Amino acid sequence: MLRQSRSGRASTGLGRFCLGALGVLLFVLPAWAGEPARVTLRLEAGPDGAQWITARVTDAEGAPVPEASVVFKLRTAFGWLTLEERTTDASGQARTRLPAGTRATEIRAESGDVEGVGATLSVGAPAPESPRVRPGRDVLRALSPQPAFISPRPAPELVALLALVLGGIWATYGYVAWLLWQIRSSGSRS
Amino acid sequence: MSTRQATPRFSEREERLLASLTAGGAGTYALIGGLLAVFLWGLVAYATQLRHGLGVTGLRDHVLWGVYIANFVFFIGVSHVGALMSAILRLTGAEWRRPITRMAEAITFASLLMGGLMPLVDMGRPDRLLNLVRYGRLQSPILWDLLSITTYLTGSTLFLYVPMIPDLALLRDRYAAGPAWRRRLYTLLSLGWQDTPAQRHRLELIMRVMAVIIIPIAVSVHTVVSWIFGMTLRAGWNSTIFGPYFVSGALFSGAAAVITAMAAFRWAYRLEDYITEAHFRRMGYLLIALGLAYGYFTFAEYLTPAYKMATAERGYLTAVFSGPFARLFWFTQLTGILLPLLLLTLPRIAWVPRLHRVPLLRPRPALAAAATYAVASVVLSAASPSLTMAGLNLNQWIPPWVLPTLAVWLFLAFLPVFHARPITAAVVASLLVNVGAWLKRYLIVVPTLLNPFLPIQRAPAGWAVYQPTWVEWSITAGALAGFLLIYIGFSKLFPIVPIWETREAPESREAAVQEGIVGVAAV
Repeated sequence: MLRQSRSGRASTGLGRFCLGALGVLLFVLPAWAGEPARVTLRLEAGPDGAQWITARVTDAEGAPVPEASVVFKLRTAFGWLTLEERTTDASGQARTRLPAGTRATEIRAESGDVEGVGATLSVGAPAPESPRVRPGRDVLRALSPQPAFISPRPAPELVALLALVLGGIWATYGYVAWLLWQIRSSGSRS
Repeated sequence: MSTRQATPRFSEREERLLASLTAGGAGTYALIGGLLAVFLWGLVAYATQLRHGLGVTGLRDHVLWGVYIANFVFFIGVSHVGALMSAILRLTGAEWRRPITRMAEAITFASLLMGGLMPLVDMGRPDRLLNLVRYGRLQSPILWDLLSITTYLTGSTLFLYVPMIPDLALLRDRYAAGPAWRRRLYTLLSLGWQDTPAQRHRLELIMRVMAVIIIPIAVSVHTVVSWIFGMTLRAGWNSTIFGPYFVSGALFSGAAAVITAMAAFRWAYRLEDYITEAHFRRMGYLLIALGLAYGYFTFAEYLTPAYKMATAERGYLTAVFSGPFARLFWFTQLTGILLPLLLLTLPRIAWVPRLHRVPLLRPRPALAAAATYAVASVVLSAASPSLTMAGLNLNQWIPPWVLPTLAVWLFLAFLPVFHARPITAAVVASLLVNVGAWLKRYLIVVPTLLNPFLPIQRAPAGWAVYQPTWVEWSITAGALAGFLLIYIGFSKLFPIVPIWETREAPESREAAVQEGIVGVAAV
């Protein structure tokens, strides 16, 4: 009798728990279905050569999430710099244009309030090598009467002038440092 | 000179000159605490800028230089006078310079440190600073600037340090009150100074060499700063006299900063016997001469393009003379140049005290009128919408001639006060010069960028105006606080008035005392 009643109470408690859990699942699941659960990123080149990043936001079931906010970020030496905040369209996509001249770095797109729903993509190309062939003085002279100032390489006379002036000053500093050393040496001897 | 065998106690004179090291009450700590708080707030603002980029500032594609570069030019300008004035006075044997040279040289050191940081703050990506050296073009004035400022900082630090060696030896031998690290610092920096003839000979040789070489370096530094602007084809910057114009402006603001520092130390540490009224008088003469030179260059700088009014420069000149920057421009000219010159010259006229005989020309009626004007302006501004609706024009209530008349009245009423207190007059003039100098740097940088030869187009409307944000103002306040902290910190570590230089009797000591240049206590 006692055992029966105990097992009956236990089964009632288990039933209530299951009912409650089912209720919670029924209440929460539809919400999960519409919430951003995954972000994928795609890099595209526009007709004008500009780079575009497209973020696609999907829910837990893989369906696109419209009207979801997407924050695009760019990695800098000091952390993530927010580029733009966009809202997804009906196909769950949001786009942003990369700033011109973006070199090799990472772009991240985050969506929703849940932390960690986002994706990261490496973009950009390393800085191009400098051209190996540089215009000579004769070409530059034809372009400007002051070829020394527009030349990609410093003109020898400019380097010589700067070296003379700065070298003279720093040599004097060196002489002063040597005199200070002499003061120190004579102080320690006496 | 003192040696280790000399008496271990400071003389009364030395104790007075070392007051900046030993004295420090609640006021000092409150000042340092306040400055530290402002400096830290500036650091918070800079961290915000690093984290979110230059978008948090008012800087955009067109106005790419703003408050930061104005700060840079201002600080580098103020740094001029220390080394330059000290070197010139040293070489010419001007004995009255002795008590004030170090405070001038320390201004150079502190302002160069803060000024040198400003371009770094202006960079959106300071982690790329090394690229300036790796890929910088030797043909660019930007790289010349980097080289000249580094050279000047090294030279001015040597110029500050070398004359301090005998004083550091004195502190090494006699300063027992402070912590052990202080004595170790003094021992290290005094280089084993024993005041032997050989040491003294070398020290004097160094000072002569440095005094000669620091003058062209100081002049070249601000010239190179001006070339950053002057070598561009932009309205307002495309000028051939920018070099001397900048140098004269730098000397003017720097001399004003020295006067302010002299007054502050004199007041804080009771140095009336060493920094006398005659020092302020002489520095006042210097400020007048520099102000006239600066005024001349300003006039020449603006007259040449304004006379021609070339199409390309018309927008810029109109903006400065009668457009959105007109109030600021005329304020800097009147309050930053003309008024300080009047304050330094007119109170010296013999009949000025007689102005007090005229009842209306006393401070109280003038102040009462100014206060009435201020209250009336505030009240009428607040009631402006309802008055306009009622068909009343504010301009009819307060005609435009009232404000200038009030300003002249106030000036005349306070002339006898400044006659009786020449030091106050010099300090007020120097503060006005420095405020005007900063505003003028802002006017050099911003209006030109807002008036490019090609009109600003295909840009958001907000990019055609420059409005500094809280980040820029906070960093500016932090930089000023940093400058003051370095300066006060220096005066807390080292004697701000040279002890050995003021003790060593010049040949004309008696004459100097008679003239009031050196106080009796200094002898």
